[in-house]
Amino acid sequence: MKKLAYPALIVALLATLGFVYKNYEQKKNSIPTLQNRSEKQTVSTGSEWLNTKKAIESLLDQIRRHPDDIKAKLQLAMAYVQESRVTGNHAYYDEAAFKLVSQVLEREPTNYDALCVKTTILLSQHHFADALTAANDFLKLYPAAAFGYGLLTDAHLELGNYAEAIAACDKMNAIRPDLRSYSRAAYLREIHGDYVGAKDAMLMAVKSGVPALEQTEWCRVQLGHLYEKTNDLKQAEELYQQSLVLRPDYAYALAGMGRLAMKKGNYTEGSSFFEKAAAQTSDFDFQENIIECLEKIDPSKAKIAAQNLITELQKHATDEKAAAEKGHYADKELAYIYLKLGDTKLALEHATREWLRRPENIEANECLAWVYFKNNDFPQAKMYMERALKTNSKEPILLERKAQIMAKN
Amino acid sequence: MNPQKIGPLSIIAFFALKTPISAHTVNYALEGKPTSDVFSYYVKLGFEHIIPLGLDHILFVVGLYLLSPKLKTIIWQATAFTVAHTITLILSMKNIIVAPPDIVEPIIALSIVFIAVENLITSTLQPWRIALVFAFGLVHGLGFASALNELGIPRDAFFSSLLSFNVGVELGQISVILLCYVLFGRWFSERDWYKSRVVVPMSLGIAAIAVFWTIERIFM
Repeated sequence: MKKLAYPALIVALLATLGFVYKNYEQKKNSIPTLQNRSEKQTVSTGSEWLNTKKAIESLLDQIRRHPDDIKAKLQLAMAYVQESRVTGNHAYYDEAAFKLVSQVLEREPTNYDALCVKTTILLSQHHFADALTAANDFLKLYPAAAFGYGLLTDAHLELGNYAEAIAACDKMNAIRPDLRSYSRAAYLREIHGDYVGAKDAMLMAVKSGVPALEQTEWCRVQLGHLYEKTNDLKQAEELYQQSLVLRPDYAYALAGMGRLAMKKGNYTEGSSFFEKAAAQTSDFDFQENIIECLEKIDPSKAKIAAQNLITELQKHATDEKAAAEKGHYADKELAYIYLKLGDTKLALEHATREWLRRPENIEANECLAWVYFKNNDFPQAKMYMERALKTNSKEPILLERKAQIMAKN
Repeated sequence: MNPQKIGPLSIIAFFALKTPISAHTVNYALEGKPTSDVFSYYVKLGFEHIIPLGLDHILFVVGLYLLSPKLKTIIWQATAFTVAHTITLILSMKNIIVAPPDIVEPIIALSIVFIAVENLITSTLQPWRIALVFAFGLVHGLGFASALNELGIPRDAFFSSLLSFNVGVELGQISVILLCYVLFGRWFSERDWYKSRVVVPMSLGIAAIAVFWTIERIFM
């Protein structure tokens, strides 16, 4: 009996290993499908969703019939990157797109588009050090590619290498001045406290884009936001309205209108804008804004909304944790979520993890400073806040946090 | 060919396959920091990766302990496991071997099932057990690398960080073995019923949990 037990055990082990490998191969070569948008998103995005669905289903069909069609796989990966941006479902679509580009790169390791998409996904997954390596490798292969310098800018920016980010962005603008390079220049100017320069660059980005496309309208809304931050509310409103005409129900433009309504004391109107925005895109800022409005309109409703948000946040925290386990880091977001839930210990754990990954980044330092502040550790909060202010950013929320932290030191 | 020799070879063959290679994460925060800071940080990280975070590694080590309470048996197995996971940890962090979690994680669970089931069959240390523990150690090393990769290592302290992490992992393993000794080995290992009342139920429990993990990790 014992003599038979060993071979049986070994055979079982080998069979399972074989199954594990076969399963892995199947998973690796499987084609991720499109996920349905929520009912609200489907209703509000109407024809765009139908077009997206049709295009993606056609690509999926093409790949099913021709599994080696690299072009179709790449197009599908790009469509998923865009879908990730539109729906906010980064955990699923980033992984899906990454799987597709990995299949392409296995066959064509130097494929230009695949390398671009791969680096873009690494940035979206917050794998910034990997993204920096990938961007540098990409530029070794394609030294004149402006997009490569864009990726390099983003990676340096996220890691907090601001001087390097500026140099890469300048190079990008010199090679190919367009929406992507101008918008990056605008952001760099903004975080260095140069709002005039930021507005100029973002205006150029808007002018160089195709009106109504998501990227262009994102830039238009960002331009509006820059005006909003510098208290030119009239100009900001004009830009948000323009965006809504060109791209009806665009979530970030609706949120901009909501913020303006709040600033004017029209909380009912503000809440309505944020609700519409939240129906389009999953962004917890919108939910938070709704609660802020309700606190002014009907505190009891605000309380219920806050409870609902906490439930949502807890689910989101679990989802994000699961996503992180799959390789999608979201520690900064989780830190803020746990702060909202009142769990300052977990918030500190995640803020520290984020900071360890990019200790020079101003947002990571701001997050850690704020979490220390909420933990009543004011000297630590001050230390990290000073790091967050190193680019001389005049971001209003950052300055408000700075004031609160400095008042306690 | 003796089927008992196929196991480790096939496991090693898995990782000789071409897999996409990505750079390891850099821990920028610890760059330029004193060696003592780096050492203590990674020792703690390695220890925590066993206790309390590494339940699968804990069950594996408990499984090793359950084969026989003899010190020699434990030392042989622990040494094979340590040498193996050190090799793949270094190779993986150097990007020489990169294995996908979809393969590594189910095999780690499977290794626990195997060790636990083998405990039911024998109480003596066979040479192939050491070979298998070595092979499984190679896979566990890849799992450690994936955990270490999440927080990254400083570029100016690559080997000292790896060494410290490994020291932490070893301390964790030794703690598990000592706990096994203190909790039941010390008191019951000389009893006639040690195998039937301690080893068998514990091994069955470990195997059941690991079967669940194997299925979960393959299909989820």
